[in-house]
Amino acid sequence: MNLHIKALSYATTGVIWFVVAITILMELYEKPIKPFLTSLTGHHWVTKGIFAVIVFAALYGALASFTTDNKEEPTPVYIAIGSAVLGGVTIFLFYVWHFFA
Amino acid sequence: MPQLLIGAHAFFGEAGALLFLWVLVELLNPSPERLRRARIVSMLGAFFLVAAWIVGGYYYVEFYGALVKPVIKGGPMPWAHSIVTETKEHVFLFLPFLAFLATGMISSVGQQLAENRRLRIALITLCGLIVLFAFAMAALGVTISSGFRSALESLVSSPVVGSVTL
Repeated sequence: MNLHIKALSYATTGVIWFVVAITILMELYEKPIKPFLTSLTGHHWVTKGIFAVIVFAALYGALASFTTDNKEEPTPVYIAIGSAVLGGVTIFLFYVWHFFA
Repeated sequence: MPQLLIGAHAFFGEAGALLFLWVLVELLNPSPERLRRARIVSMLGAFFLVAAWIVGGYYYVEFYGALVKPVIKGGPMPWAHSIVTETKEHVFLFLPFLAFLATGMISSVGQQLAENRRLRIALITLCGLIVLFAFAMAALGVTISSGFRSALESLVSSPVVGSVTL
């Protein structure tokens, strides 16, 4: 297996921020977004998961086609790691705020 | 059925975490044999985390929303759903993709990991993050169970909690 590591790292980063964005937007603008997501699969969370897989695959395909890989450079991996930590903290703090608001 | 699904979800998640801990250890001092093992174990770890996602997702959609959520929200720890479950169900979505990134790196970079220390440290950090996230999910799961149990205890002492009547 020979994957494009830069594309894989940035696709992971992209899908993390997609999940963060759709999670927060759905809570803030529940009326139009939640019924739409629910109407697609029967449950908004299932739709989010399927969308995440599609976003990941699309980003990987596009980035692998249009960028040059450098398997020796770890920076894109650290960006994915940092995004996971920041994204997790963002979701947690958002729900803390949402609970007390 | 719900108990079986929760057990399977926890097993797959914890096994996935332990398998990535194994990968992390193999990468500390890599040799061709250790890298070969790391590749196989990381694939298995990614498979287990995807299995935890599917099984946990089925439980969440089919049982949690109807049976558990209203009880927790009517109990003394409503934040166990509003903060903890909501955080868990969304942050969990990161894990299969992080696992796929780690597995893809080990499979694609291979022997370079033994020579490129910077790349190896990045991959070790990624595996450590997967382990921490997966165990954090377990801790959040325990908190959700505590929220449910405390609500049931309230039901025993007072037969009406929120919309639920004993």
